[in-house]
Amino acid sequence: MTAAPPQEADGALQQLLGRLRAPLAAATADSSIDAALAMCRALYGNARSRDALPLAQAALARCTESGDSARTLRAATACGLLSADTADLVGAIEYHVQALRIGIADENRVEMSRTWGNIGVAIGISGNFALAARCYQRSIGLVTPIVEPMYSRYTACGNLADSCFQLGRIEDGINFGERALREMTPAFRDQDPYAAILLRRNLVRLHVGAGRLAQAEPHVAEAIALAEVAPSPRTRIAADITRAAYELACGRADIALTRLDQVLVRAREVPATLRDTLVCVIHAEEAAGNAARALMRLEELSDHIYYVAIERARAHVELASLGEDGNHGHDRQSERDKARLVAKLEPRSQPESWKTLQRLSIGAAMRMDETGWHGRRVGALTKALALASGAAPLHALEMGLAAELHDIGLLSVPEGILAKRGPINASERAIVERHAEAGAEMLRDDEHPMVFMAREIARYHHSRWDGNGYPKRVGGRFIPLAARMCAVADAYDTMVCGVGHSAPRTMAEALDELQREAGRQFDPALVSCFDALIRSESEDLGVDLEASAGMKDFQELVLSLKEDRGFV
Amino acid sequence: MIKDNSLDAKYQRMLELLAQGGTSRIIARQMGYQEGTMRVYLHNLYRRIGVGNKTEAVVWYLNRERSREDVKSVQTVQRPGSGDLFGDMALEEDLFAALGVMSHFVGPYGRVWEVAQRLEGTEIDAKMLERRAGARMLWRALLKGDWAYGKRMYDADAGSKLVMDAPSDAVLLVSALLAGGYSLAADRVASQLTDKRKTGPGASAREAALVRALRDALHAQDSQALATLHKMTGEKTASAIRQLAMVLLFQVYKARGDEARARQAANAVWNEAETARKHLQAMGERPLGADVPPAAPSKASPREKVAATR
Repeated sequence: MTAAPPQEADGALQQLLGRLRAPLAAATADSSIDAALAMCRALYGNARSRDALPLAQAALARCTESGDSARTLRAATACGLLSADTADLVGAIEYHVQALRIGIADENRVEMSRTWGNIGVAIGISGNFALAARCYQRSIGLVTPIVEPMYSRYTACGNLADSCFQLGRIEDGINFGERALREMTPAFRDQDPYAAILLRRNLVRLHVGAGRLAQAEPHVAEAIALAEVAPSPRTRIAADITRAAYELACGRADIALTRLDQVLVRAREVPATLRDTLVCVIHAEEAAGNAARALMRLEELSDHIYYVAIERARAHVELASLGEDGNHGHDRQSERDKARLVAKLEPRSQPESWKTLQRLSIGAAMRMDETGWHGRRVGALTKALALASGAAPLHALEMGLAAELHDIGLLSVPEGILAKRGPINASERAIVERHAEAGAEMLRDDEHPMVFMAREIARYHHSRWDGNGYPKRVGGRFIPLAARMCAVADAYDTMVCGVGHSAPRTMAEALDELQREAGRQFDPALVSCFDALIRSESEDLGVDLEASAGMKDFQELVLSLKEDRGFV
Repeated sequence: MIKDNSLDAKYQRMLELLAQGGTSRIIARQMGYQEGTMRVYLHNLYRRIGVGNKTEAVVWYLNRERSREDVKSVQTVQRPGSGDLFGDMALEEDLFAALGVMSHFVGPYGRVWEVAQRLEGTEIDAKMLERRAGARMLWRALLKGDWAYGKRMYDADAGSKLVMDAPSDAVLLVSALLAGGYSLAADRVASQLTDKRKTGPGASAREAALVRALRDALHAQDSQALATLHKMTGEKTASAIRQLAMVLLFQVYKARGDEARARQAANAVWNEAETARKHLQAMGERPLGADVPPAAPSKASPREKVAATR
């Protein structure tokens, strides 16, 4: 886990942001805008783009009003980079295009070059590397007449190396990578250590791809050194991925896997790095012989990264025609990968320790719920929700079974805290919140995909859609799907059965509460699906949702969900 | 070189006599030639049809005759104009025969259910096996349109036992009875199911609605009821209802002679089976053992093989 700043620091940051935003509206002094943009830069470096974006937008609005073209350009660029970092590709490109227009109006080739490079980065996040490569080429082309080292040329070359790697043009990639190294001045390196690490990462991957491990090694060392000089979540993720890729190539898949496991947790907080991390994890899992787990990760990759970046871009009118060349290639590639992994799968049976884990989780649940069946109920509801939202039957079944263990980490929480009536204080809250991480620890290092899924659920079932849950700053589609489903089912069961010390509510009231929290605490699509599910099931059973608070009718509903009708 | 596919009468006659087992002497005598002439004619025939000896000529002749007969027989029963082989087979034979081995992937207690039991760690005991066998037989009767099976079960008084033990399987029986026109028997089982509901788990509201829709569709020729059945084929959570509705739609349309719609329903069942098969495969199962490559021929040369056997 990252050393997340304590809650007080978080609060202070929010206040500071609020204070910065308020005077911006009225400010005339350029210095306040400069300060805001510097703040954005710092937040970006610390992987807090989500927090920084509103600030940058306020600055942009202010600059546009005052008509200061140089500052407007900088603010638009900042907005674009921050949007891309929160995986809002469409927004990012809009901001960059705004910056580009200013660059064209001012005939400032340097800025235009820089903006094309940024557009390429945004498109690259979506996985359309062919198109991204064209953007970088244009960026380089714009500054061809200038001989001395150019920052935009240096980054474009580095990024082009990555695109070439992704497109399988290894030798071209190495050429561009080496060229970027020649362009790099110490000043560039110190100004943006992250870009320097990315360059090293690209070179490592290219050399590994070409089978030249010896040449990759110095770049790995360089990347680690850079990350130590300028520590931030982003640089650490990039350096660790570089290291893992090298270890993987050396045949130490298990070490790489352990490293990547930690990286993945951090990468969920920095959306733009998740894609890269997942790709690396898939390779590592496959190399370690865990085809089933690799497949799960691949599904995550093609499902939500794909959704985040490509589907939203396609929906956008201006980009609709751009999606032709690279995206379908990505689809096909992931289909091929899937087929390859599926061929390696073994038929699954129940994990050896499963019965024991189930008993433990009942024990854990009894600390909150006197029947101890909270887990079972949540499991049944999660399975039904998964089926209703279109998951294949056996996947849904696995999710349901895995969700039964979601609160297993409560075993690590002293009973006194859980039994306490009335509000709990901050330190007690911190202990309760630790149960998510503790559950993940308990389910660690198991080969079986079902335990693996249970681990994901245990860790992320208290993540909120808006990113304000725990673990911190993991939100939206960057929460694993199974955990999002479990969160809805868990909250519903808690409300209806009155788990803990809350008063039980009727099933209809609980549904209303879920609706209110859709888009804040829960995935809105899943909530509407769950709503329809509960309504149709209760109608089928002749249960009145409004009638009574508590377990009786609800229990009947859950039992009917669990009944064996010869189908999953 | 053969100019056209038909041999002239002389060669045709020779082939017939060959096929009856005649030697060249007998054939010569029968056709009124000298034996030497006959041999020349035989060799001409071999060259024309591209074979090397008498046996091959006979095999060639028999194959040709058989394929002609096949063409004739197919032409007599071929349906005009549908390119849908599966739908045609389902209409001509029955859904069970058309699905073949794929019928394992649809219906209650199919292959997906088996794997689910394994994942859940449920032991499949004798009672469960019995229940499963009963339900699978009923499902098969529904696919085949073997309505007498349902009636026999009812007459043996297996209906009320089914209602007690496995209410959701009793819905299959009710459907089979209704489709076979035994509405009195169907109503009795259905009412037993409703009574059971008062004391414990019986037929769900959805299952009751399905039975009602089937009855109306069959007897009142109600298009509203058909629409209800159609809607049930889109059920996401209740696979039991979805698959049953598909099969029943097929049988209803087949009974009405609406072949185009019956074909569509049959194809929906096939898709369901195919989806389940793919899903199992994506979970690492080997549902048909299809991806086990055939044993590769050994690379050793014949001489080496001989050496190895020594």
